[in-house]
Amino acid sequence: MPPKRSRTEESKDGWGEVPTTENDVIELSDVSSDEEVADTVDSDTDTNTNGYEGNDDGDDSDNEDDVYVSDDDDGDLNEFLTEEEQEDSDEEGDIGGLKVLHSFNNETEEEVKERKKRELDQEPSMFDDVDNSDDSSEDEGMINTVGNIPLEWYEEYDHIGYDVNGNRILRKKRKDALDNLIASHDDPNYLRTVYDELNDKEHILSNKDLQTIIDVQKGRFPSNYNPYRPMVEYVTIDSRFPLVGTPTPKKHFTPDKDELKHIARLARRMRKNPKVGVPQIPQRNTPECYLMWGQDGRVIGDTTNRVGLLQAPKTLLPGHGQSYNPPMEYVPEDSQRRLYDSLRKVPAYDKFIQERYRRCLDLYMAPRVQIRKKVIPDPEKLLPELPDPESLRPYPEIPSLVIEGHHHIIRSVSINPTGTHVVSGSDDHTVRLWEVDTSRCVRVWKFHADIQCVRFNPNAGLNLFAVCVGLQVYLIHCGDIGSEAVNEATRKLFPDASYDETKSILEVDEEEELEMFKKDEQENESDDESDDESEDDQDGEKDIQKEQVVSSSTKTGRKKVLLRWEFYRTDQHKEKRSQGIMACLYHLKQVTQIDWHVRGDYFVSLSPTANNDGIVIHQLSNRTSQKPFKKALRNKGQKVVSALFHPTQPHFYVATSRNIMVFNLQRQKLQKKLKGQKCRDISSMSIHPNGGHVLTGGYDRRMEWFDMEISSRPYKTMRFHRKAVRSVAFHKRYPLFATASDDGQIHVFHCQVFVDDWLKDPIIVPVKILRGHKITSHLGVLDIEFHPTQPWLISGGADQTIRLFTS
Amino acid sequence: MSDTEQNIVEEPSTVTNDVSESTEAQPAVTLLNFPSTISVRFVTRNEEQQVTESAINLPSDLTRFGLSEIVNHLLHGEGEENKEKHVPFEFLVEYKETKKAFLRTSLKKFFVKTQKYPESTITIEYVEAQPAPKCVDTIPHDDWVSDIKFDPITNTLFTGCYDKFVRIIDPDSSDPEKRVLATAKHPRPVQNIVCAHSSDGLYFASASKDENARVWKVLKDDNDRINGAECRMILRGHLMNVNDLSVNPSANGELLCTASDDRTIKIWQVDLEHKKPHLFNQELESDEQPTTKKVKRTYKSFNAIGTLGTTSGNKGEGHTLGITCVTWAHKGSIYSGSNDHTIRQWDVARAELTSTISGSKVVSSLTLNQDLNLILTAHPDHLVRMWDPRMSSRASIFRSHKAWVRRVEWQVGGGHQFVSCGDDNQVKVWDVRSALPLHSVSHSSEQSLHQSGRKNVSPFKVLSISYCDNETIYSGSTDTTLKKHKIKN
Repeated sequence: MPPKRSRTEESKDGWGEVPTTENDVIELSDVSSDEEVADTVDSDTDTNTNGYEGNDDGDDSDNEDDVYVSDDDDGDLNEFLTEEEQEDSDEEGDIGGLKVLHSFNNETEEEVKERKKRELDQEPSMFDDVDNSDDSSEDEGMINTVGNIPLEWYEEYDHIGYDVNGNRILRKKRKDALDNLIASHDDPNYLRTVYDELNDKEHILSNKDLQTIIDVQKGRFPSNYNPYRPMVEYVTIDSRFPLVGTPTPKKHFTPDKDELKHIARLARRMRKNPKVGVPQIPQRNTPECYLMWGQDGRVIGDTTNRVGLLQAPKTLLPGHGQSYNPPMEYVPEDSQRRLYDSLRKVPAYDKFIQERYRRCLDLYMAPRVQIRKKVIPDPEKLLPELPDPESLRPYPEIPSLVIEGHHHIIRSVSINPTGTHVVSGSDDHTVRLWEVDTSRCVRVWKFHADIQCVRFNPNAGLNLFAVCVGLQVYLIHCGDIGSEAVNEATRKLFPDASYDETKSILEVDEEEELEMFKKDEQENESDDESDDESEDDQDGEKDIQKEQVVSSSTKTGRKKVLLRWEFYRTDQHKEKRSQGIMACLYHLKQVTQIDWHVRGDYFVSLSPTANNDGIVIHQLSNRTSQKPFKKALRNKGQKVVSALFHPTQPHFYVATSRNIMVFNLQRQKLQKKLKGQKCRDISSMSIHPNGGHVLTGGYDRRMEWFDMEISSRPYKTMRFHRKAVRSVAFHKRYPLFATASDDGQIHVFHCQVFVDDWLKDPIIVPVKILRGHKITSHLGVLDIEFHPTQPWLISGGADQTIRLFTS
Repeated sequence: MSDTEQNIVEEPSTVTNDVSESTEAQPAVTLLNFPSTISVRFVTRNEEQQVTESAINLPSDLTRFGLSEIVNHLLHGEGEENKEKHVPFEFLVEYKETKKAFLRTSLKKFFVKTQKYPESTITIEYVEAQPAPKCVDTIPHDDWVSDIKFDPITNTLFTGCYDKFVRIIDPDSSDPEKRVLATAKHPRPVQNIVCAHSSDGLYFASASKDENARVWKVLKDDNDRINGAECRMILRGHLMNVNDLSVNPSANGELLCTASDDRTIKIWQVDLEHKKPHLFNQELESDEQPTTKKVKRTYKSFNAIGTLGTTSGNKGEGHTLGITCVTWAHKGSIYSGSNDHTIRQWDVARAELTSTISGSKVVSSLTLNQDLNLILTAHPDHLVRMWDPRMSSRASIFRSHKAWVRRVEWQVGGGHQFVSCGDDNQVKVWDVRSALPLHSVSHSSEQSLHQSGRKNVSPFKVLSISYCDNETIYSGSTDTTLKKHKIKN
């Protein structure tokens, strides 16, 4: 029961205080006679009770100690006691006062302690006070600070010690015997007065003090103290929790039988071969060396693996300084607030940068992330083995000419077969003819709508180009250029004489047409409303067309005129003839593209919005047109994007937005269907001059190369452009092709095609990015064409310029 | 730097050999080990400006300005009053035996570049620097000026223009209205002209943008003043556009050659007075254009007396693409440049191909220096190349133009200078011995450029240039003006 014991000791100390006053009295007794003191005490006990409390505060633990130190004190005390008590006190020593008290009550020491404890519990207030005085060393009564030393050391001096501030405390004049005598007569408190030697002070004992002294002397309990209080038990035996919290000992553990067997097996094996399971310690042959800079046996050099295990230091949580809702001491006072007229002007937390810097420095000096370097033995090997572009010259690389003159985006450019002139069509409704090497505008034709497409006849013996404007396709011959013979040959195609108009009308039986259309409708039920809209448009246009048709020829009857040629003659259309416009082909729908056959006799016109009649092939020499496809080619909403002739064979390529279909015109059947792998939105198509390869560009930035011999899937899909590819083109002579995009760039590629060796795949090498065209309203380069003889490239862009790139 | 080096060096292959040998013998010359002073001796061919023959020690980092100051001091002595006499000089430094180049950097850098260590005294030849060309006259035209030729005997200027006229201009006339002495109309824009004196008098031949060239006789009045031009010959035979003409310089202007897009060069005999009936068709053309009815029919259509190359354009026989430029050299040989990137030399007498120089770029203009036997060609890749017909493997490069170089022309009478013009609105005067042009002049003024609304890129192209005599340069541009630049004071 240790706690209890300690409490009793404290209480004993508390009790031990009482004798201090006693000692004071004893001191006093040095001067006065024993009897007198006893008398005064006896007499004053009853009468003077008020001063008892007042002196209580004045008592000091240090004082008591000092009092105890002196040997004389004991003797003095003994004088108050009886002979029996004196014997006891002699035996007990220093704290004899207490022992005397104990022996006086004829109780054992322990009993006394217990009793004291009970008393203490009953009267906490009184003992609390005593305890406090015990602890407090800064009492008012304490003046001398010399400490616990023999006071005779100061006897020779005038001062008795030093106060708190270090000043000397001077000794008062000692009273001599006469003074004492006088005081004994005059001073009513004389007998109550005790002298404090340490502080050189006299205390007057109150009644309470005296009462306490008497109580101590007589071995009585102090007043108001009940020594017979019921005991309070702090710990009851029948508590529910286990008293011992130790874990279950191992001997209580019953092992599994299987485990026992396993262990037994292991043990048996180890007995047979004691080396099993024992790690082999490699013999160290090399002399042990020490890392010079190691610290306390720890190796600091080898930190390669440990660095990765380092935890990043935690950032300090934001403190009050950074808080939006700080405690009051952080809230600036009014005086501080007045420094800034706005919260904006309050400066930032001044240590912020330092702290961040320290953290960053820490992270930097001890990086936590282990950066593993990828071991690449030879970075060059990662690149595909491509020949150096330098060795693949010539290709267009130098921007040589910028041809300006159009006032709107240029949709289409085309070079004549000799490569001397360029024709361009623009949204400013004009077609312009330019000289290539001087960029001189030779001639301008003005039309009524945006120019969709211009194409020169590829036959070098003719000087003719076709222009798509709205619903019309014009055939234009420019007499200002080209040699006489060529111009003569061209003029011969369009003699200035009347012609058989019936021949030059392409008609379709309307019923048949309707049936086809219905079939088509059924097949494409899922077709969306946009088609309906286009139908509405179509109706409107139809009316116009019908009028025109009726006016020109009365023979329509029940048949629907799909297309009508009109040749201009000098007597009827002098103006047009003088401009070189030789003929016009009226379509029902807007024509977006035309393509000439290599020989220049056939050309195809493409109107994607027309349902069944989108593709019409025309023959120049016969002045006839024919519709190669009875049924609409588009399915599932895919519009026909491009239609091209095969350069050598009677094949015809039609590109819808996803597929490319190859038709044999002679046998009139579908020969092949090429499917784009990723490209979902083909914008343009170009055929390699040997006809074996097809290149497509898509609005989804992709460009796909189809090898007709290999498969119907693209041989290569490339995506270099950042925006939609608008146009792709092959060079007719050089192994070059180029793609033009809305990002204003033209990418030039070298493409080596092995005609003789079927096993070799084509080599495609990007060689040059041609920049120059500016992006205007999200459009870049709209059309490109290679020069027929030189490795040059002509491009028309949305920035209203035509550019020539030379090698 | 390599270009410049290549440029200075006329025979690159031999020089590289020399360099390798010298590096074996002694360490390479660098800026660090080059001596701070070198011994220099100045010489000149102009005896009036000769300074002391003795060698002078000069700091090696002197540039041509410093050297010029020194020569001027030696000539005129020091002092402020003599400053007016000072003339800028150009310096020709010998870097190899009999090889000289103009100094454009400091002496030190020059020798480091040429890898020559100056052990002994260096001889520096100095010539008076040519002042920058100054535009002294502007002759307005109605359209782009496509070609300029100058006849020094009659002191007249022939200009071809895109308004289909050839103008005969008296350049010295002060009255702008009387300047144009005569005009000659063509069916299409005039592309090229050439003028010469034959036994029948002054004539000029012109190629407009069609397949027929025309020869015109220049008519004169009693006061021997030019008052008109008459078409005497139509040269028929080419199948395609005639691009260039050239007159045989040695045959008294009797022979003419034309180059065409149909890959052939045809040779014609000039017969202004129709004295040789076997050369022309006796019948007059009937289906000519109606405008010619008014004019007295004085022309006859002529046939070529010879053809170089074939229109089929098979390899080995001639050019495979259209011929853009032709020059008749001495000794009956013709040089032609073509779109097929080659320069070919033809033997006229035997009508055979002599040699072929294969370049990598289209040749847009070609000119031959008779004395140096060097060919200059202009190319669309912004370069002027110089070829030695004997060494067809490599060309020296002159790089300064910023756009397509349209024309290049040697100085008349054999010299080291030539002029070039291009789409960057620049007229440049070069010396073969210098990598950089001596002078660059803009044809169109700042003001006219400003009016065109584009400051950065010149919209004008200088299409034609003529180094008439050694004093004047004429340039014709797409800003429809012809400008006269004076070189000498």
